Parts: sequence; C-alpha cells; structure tokens
Amino acid sequence: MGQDELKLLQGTLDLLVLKSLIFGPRHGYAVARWIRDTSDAALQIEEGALYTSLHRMEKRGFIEAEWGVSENNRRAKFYGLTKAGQRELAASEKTWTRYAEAVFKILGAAGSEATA
Amino acid sequence: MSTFDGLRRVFRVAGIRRDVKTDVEEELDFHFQMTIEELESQGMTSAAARTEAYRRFGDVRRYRKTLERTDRKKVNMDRLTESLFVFRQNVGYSLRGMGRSPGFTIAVIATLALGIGANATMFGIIDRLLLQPPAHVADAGQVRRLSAHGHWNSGEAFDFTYLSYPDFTDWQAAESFASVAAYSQDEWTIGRGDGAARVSVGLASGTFFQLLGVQPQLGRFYGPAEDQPGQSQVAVLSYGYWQRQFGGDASVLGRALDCGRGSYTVIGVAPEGFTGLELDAVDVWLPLEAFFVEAGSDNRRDRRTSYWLHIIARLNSGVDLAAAAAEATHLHRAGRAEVIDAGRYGRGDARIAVSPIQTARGPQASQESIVSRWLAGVSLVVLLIACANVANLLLARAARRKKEIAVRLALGISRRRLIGELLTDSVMLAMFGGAAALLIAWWGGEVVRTVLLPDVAWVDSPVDSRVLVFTTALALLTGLMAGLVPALQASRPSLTSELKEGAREGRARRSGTRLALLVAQGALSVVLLVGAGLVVRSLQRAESIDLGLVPDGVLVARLELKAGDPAREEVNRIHERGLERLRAMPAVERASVGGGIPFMWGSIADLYVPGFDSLPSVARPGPFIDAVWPDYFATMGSAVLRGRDFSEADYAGSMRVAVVNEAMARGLWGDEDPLGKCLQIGSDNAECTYVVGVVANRRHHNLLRQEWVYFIPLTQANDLWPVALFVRGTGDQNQLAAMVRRELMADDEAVRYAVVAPLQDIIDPKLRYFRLGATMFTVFGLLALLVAGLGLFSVLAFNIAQRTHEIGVRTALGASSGGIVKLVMRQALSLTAIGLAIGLAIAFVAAGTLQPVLYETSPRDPLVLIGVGLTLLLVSVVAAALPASRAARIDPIAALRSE
Repeated sequence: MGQDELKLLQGTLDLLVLKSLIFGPRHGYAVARWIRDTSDAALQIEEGALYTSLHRMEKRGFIEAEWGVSENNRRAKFYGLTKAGQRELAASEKTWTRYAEAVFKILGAAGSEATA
Repeated sequence: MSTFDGLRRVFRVAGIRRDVKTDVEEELDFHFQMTIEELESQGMTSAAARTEAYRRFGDVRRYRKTLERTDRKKVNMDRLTESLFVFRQNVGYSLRGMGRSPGFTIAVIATLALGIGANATMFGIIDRLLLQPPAHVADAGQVRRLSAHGHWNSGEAFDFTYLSYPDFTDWQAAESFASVAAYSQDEWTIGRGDGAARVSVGLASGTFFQLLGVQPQLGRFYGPAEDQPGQSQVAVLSYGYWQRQFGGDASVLGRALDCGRGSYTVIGVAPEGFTGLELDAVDVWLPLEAFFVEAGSDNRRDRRTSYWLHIIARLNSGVDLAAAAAEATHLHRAGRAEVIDAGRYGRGDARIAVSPIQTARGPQASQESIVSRWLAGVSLVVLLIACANVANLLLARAARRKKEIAVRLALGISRRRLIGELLTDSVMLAMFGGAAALLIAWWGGEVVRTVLLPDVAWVDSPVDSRVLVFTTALALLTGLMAGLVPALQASRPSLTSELKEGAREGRARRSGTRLALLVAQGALSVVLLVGAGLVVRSLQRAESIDLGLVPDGVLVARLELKAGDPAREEVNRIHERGLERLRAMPAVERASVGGGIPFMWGSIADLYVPGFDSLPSVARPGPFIDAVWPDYFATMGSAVLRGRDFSEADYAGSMRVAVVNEAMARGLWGDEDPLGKCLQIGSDNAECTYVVGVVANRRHHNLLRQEWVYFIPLTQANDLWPVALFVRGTGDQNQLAAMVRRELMADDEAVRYAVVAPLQDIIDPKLRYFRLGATMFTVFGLLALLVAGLGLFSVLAFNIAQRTHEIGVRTALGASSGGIVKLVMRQALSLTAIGLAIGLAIAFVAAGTLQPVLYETSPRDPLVLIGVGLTLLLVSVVAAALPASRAARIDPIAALRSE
C-alpha cells in the first residue's frame, strides 16, 4: 500500500467504535480522537462516517445515547455500550481476529515459499 | 452517566422527545467546536483550523442527512416498542383488575354480552335478508327484479310483484336486457301412492341458470331448448334434496322422478345453498313448461291478467337503470294497449321498477324482513343502554380509584397514558363481552331462524365469518364508547382536593355524568317498552280478530287429479264422491266443498249492484266471491245471522241466490233488510242474483282487513270450480288428516294425491311475524328494563356506600330509619321520573314511525303509556329497596369509627 493512512475494510469501523466505548460512555469527538490517537493516525477515517456508525449502532441497540455535560462543561451527546453492544463487540472482535490471523497465515506461507 | 441498565427505561418513557434535526445539529456543532479548538491549540489559525475540521469530517450535508434519517427510524421504532410495551402493561393491569373484582367484571361482561349479542344475532339475520346477494349468482349487481306499479281507477296504488307469462316473452325482446328469466315456486307431489310427499318445486325458465351464471354441482342445467312444449321432462335437484333423498349418490343422473302429473329425468344437481333468488328452500327445479303440463292447460301462456311469475333480467353492460325501466314499461303497456284503452288496467299508468334482487330490499319486502329491520334497530337501542350502564359502572369504579389515580398523576404519569390504560380496560371488558355475545348470537340466531324465518334455507351456522367480524368491530366500538367518558373524567380529577380529602370522603360528591347516564338509560328503556307494549297490543288485537269462522277442528283437503284437463262436471263429480265418503266417516262431523281456501286462494269477480255507480273503495281488494256447497257455513263455523244457508234446492236452473257477509250487507244497504237485494255478477246486465242470507263477518284474503265477501252455490257458478273439501271432525287433527287422506285416495281412480292440512296451519304463518315481532320486542324491552334497573341499583348502592359516614351522622343526630329510607327512595324516584318523562316524550314523538307494524293500535295507546310508566316506577322502587334498607341499618357508631 503506497499510502501511510490505511483505508478501512467494510464493517471494521463499527468494531472500532464499539471498542472505543469499552472504558465507558464517550461523546463522538472523544471516539474520533481515541481512534486517531490509538492508531497513531494510521487509519484514514472520515469523521462523518464515524458518526454514521454511532447512530446506526444506536438504532440497532448496541449503544445508547444520552445528553450530558462534557469535560469543558458543554452539552454533548454521550454514547455508551449496552449489554447487546458488549456481546456484539466480543463476537466481532473474535471474528475479526480469526480473519486477520488467517490472512496473515496465507501471507506468511506465500513469503516462505518465495524464499525457498 | 455510567448506568445504562434496565431501570433507565422506565423513566425514559416519560422523557421529553427532542427534535431529531436539532439533536444532530447540536451534536455536530459540539464536534466541530472541539476539533477547531484542538487544532488552534496546536498553533493553527482559526480559519485553517476550521477548514481542516471540515476536511476531516467529510461531506457535512450528506452525513447530516444520513444521521437524521437513521435517528428518525430509531425514534419511530422506539415509539412502537414503547406503545407495545405500554399496551402489554395495560392488558396486564386490566386482567389483574378483573381478577380483583370478579363481581364487577361479571356484571360488565354480562351487560355487554347481552347488548352485543342481541346485535350480533340480528346482524346475522339482516345480513342474509338484506345485505348478501343470493348464493352462487355471478355479478349479482347486474341482475335486476322487475315489478309493476300503478294506480287503480279509485286512485289506490297497486304493486304487482308477480307478472304474467306474456310479460316474460315480451321483455325478451328488450334491448336493455342481455337475458330475461321467469320463475315461480310451488308445492308439488313427488312419488306415487302412499310414498308420495309434497316438495317445494322451483319452476324456472330455460334462461334462468344461464342468466344467474350458476354452475351445477353435478351433471348439467337445462337450457332454453328444453324449456319447450314436449321437451321439458328434465329435472335438476337441489343439493339438499339430493343429499336427503339420494344420499348424494352421483348415479342419480338419468333417474326418472315422478313429479306431479309427469315423469322427469334428473339431469343435474344444483350447488349447495343455491335457492335461486328467493330465500326459501327449493327441492326440485323444473322447466317453466312443466307448469303448463301440470296445469293441463295453456291458459296462462297468453293471459296477461294471470300474475304468477317473478321476472328477472340481466342488464346489458352500460345500460342505465332508468333507460331499462323505461323500455320495460313501454313493452309492458304496449302488450296491454287494448285493456288500457278500455280503462280496465287501472289508470293505465303502470310503470316497471327495476329493483335489486334481494327481495327484502325491493318493493317486495316481506313483513318478516320489515320486522327484522325493526328488531335490528331495537337491538341497537339495547346496546346503547348497555353501554350507558357499563359507563356508569366504570365511572363508579373510577370514583373508587380516585385517590390512586390522583397519586399517580401527581407522580407524573401522563394523562394520555392514563386514558390509554383506562380505555384498554374497557375495551378488554368489551372483548370478553363480545366473546360471550357470540354464544348468545349462536343460540339466538338458531331461535330466530327457526321461529321467525322457518322457510328460509339457511346455509351457514348463525355465527359465520361476517358475524364474527361484525361482533369484533362492535365490541371494540362498544368498549371505546363505554370507556371514553369515564376515562376522560377519571384522568382529570382536581389533584389537591382528592389528595387532601384523606381516607374518608366527607360528603358524597355527586357525579352529574352518572346521573345523566342513569336518566338516559331509563328514558331509552321507556322508549323500548312503549314500542314493545304497542306491538304486543297489536298482536293481542290481531289474535282476537273474529275471522268469521272457527278454524279449530277444520281440515282443508285438496285433490290432485290424474286427468290432465278434466271437465268441470268431472271435477264436480270427483269432489261429490269424496264428500260422500268423508261424511260417512265416524270422526267427521260435517264436510263441504268450496271454490276457494280462506287466506290462500280467493277470487274476485266484476260485481254490479243496482243503485250503485261503483263500489266504495273500502271493498277493495274485493269483494271476494266464493262458490260453496250446502253445509259449508256450518262446517267452517260461520254463523248464518239472517236468512238461510244454501240447500240441495239451489241447483243450476233454479233462482240465482247469494249469501253475503255482514260487512258487505251493512256497507251496501246499511240498516235496510239485505234479504232479497239484487247482485249482478260478471257484468252490469247479468241476471239478478238474490241475497238469501247474511253470514257473520267472514274474512277471506287478509286476516287484518274487514273484507266484503259473498257466496254463491257451486251449482250455480260458471267460472268457479271446486278447489278444496272442508272437514270438521273430532279427535287429533293429525290423525284425522291421515285418515282423510287415505279415504280420499282409496278406491278413486281419478285422485292421484290428496293434500290434507289443518286450516289453522294456513292461518298461523300470517300472524307469525306479528308474534315474533311482539316476542322479540318484549324480550329486548325487558332486557333493557333489567339493565336499567341494575344500573339504578348499582349507582344507589354505590352512593350509599360512599355516604356511610354522612348517614351515620344523621342517624346519630336522631334521623329515623324511615327518614333514611325516604331519602334514598326520593333520589331513586326523582331520577326515574326524569327518565320516564324524557322517554315518554320521545316515545310520543317517535311512535308514529311504528305505525306500519301495528294493527288497530294507536301509537299513543294510553294503556301502554301508563303501563310502562308504572312498570318503570315499580322497577325503580325494587332497585332502590335493598340500598335503602342497607342505608337504614347503618350503625352510626361503626360508621363513625371506621375512618
């Protein structure tokens, strides 16, 4: 990949958003910032897509939203994981990891064949 | 912030609903502010920071739209889940509430069941009579029934729902009609000898089945080619007859059926439930031609004065009704041009009506269907009363729950939510009531069907899918109607006063609504009772009509002859022989022969009376003429008041004589002596027929009318033939009928079958609708009275319970128990008096509309009005008695201590 920022695989965004909420409710800006910071800005995510993901998962019942007060005393919408969201996170984390491992395995095998 | 557990849900329900758009707007605003601030803190200029923030976000407008759409969907979903949740909760509350007060629940459900049940029953009947098109008829809207309407010369209107055979053939040429069919229903004898039985025969033209578009169950139908002279020996069985007589055996096709005088080959079976266009069951369908074979004459084929056929037509598509009616009218009048010119078809203004095929809807509506319609209306009033009663019970209960409701409202439950809860409760009750109503409809439907409409061929059970849907809808509506006022009222208490009042209510607060409902119930039941009273009075009067004969003990015997077209002399001789044999039977007291059968078969002849230009219109229809043999009056139980009966001395060549009934004698000659007066029968230059006797007021055609009837000896009659033998005998009528039938059929080669039935069987059906109307009206009226009485009772009892404390104080202060009773009674009676006054006022105004179903009863019959008034007062005294005595027995010490 010639670019520093990676394009995101479909469905992965939801997983990242869920993951960002495991430490407790956060507002959208915090989620965006957490993902950027944690990935060292390696992932290229439009923040609009992030909010789309938040609202979509709220609709599906994985997260719940509530208006609250932010660190700097402003009204902000906070998102928190629901029970269903926690389950979903665990499940898709597992799937994603297995998927990634499988891909790595193949990539690794191809590499060793080439060297042989 | 950290708790997103289930507890939260409970409060969210009451939370404020925010606008989706503002929500998204605000969320994004916050995001951009935070991002810009962060970028600025990293040293960007404010403009650059702004640009970078928007770059990172992407297409703001597009995302905002997506977010709003998603949120809106979520809000809708939430609302649905919420209302389902609330609904389930309400249903739960309601069921638990029912379990807590079973007495109240049963009272409400029973009241509603009666109200809804009465309506479901009547709907089942009305639906079949008025709403549904006849079974198996394709595109029934295009099929129309033809009837003639015009005026007699006297100005009286006539309605011919039967028409003549030439009308049928004339209309076949009409361009408005794609097809025309004629049919008639009759009773014929099937089989031979002792095994013979009477069956209902449908005589239908060859075009009939094609026109209706009906498909046979088995075999085929006959067509126009078989409805021709000499070709008509084919028969189609009804499904029911096929099942009953042949066990549904398919090999019935091709079998010969002895039917009437002829033999017919079975070629098909009609589908189940097919009864043509009438509601009465038909056993066998035969071509119209079979009628002429049976009659042994072609008389009716071109006689336009013989009205005996129902005629229907299928309209060509695109033809409007007015045009079709105009064309049919034109053809009808053209065929009668000569008669009209001679002034012998009334005013010659007959026009043809093209009506819907449901008989009960058109101008041919039977008394039964009119009565059914009335009863349906009455059942609605019963439901209204039931609704009022249930509303009252619900109000009383809501009053008991006032404090609980006030507390809940104070705690922030929304009014909407509360109303929803209360309405769910009343609808649930109504649904249970509806379920019980189905049982009532099942049972009631069976009863009404067998008693009111025994001749109708019912196919479905009384509760079919349409009744089910109707009942469900009605139950829902009833639940809302009965629950709305109580729900609105209960959800609007004055919070502070309810909460302040404490455990005991210092004084009974009277609910105006409850008293108004009570008064309305009383008023409506008065209306129903007045109606019932009037109909019952009518029935009493109709039943006590002096028919001028004593039907009890009289049998009517009609002979079916073997000969196709016997001469009059032959018919006379056969009846004479039969009469001799009957007179020889020990069980027979008297016997005679008549040329007509009372209330079944009558004749009218042109009659001229010297001294009169025309007969008064009171005599129309009529005067009826009958030709009889000696001893006829004694056999029928008609007293000869003046002059003499006919005798053997009145033979063909002797002086022409007549006996008139009293109404005719009085109508023509007043106080003059009628004996010896002259009647000219047939034409105005006919030889005089002299009156030799006056007989008691015999009625001949219509039970309810005082008709003019005169009699001549059969020996002197030219146009009248013997129609039936009349027998007065002793012992069991049915046994005697069997004996008479055997006697008449035995040893007489000329007699194929004898139809013997009690005269009472002919008269009874004429009053059947009266009897049933009266019975049902009374049942509904009493039901209403019962419900209203229970309503009064429950409200009074409730009031007493609420006023226990006050009454206790009164007693403690020295009020006598008599005074307390008086107090309660005064309230009950004043309520009743108001209801009574309103009800009587309504009845007084509305009773006029009941006139068509009354007989010789004024819609303002004072006896009925007074009777109803007294009944209502009596019921209210009874309803008040128990609460009053309970009030009188209140122990002041216990009452005062109980707070």
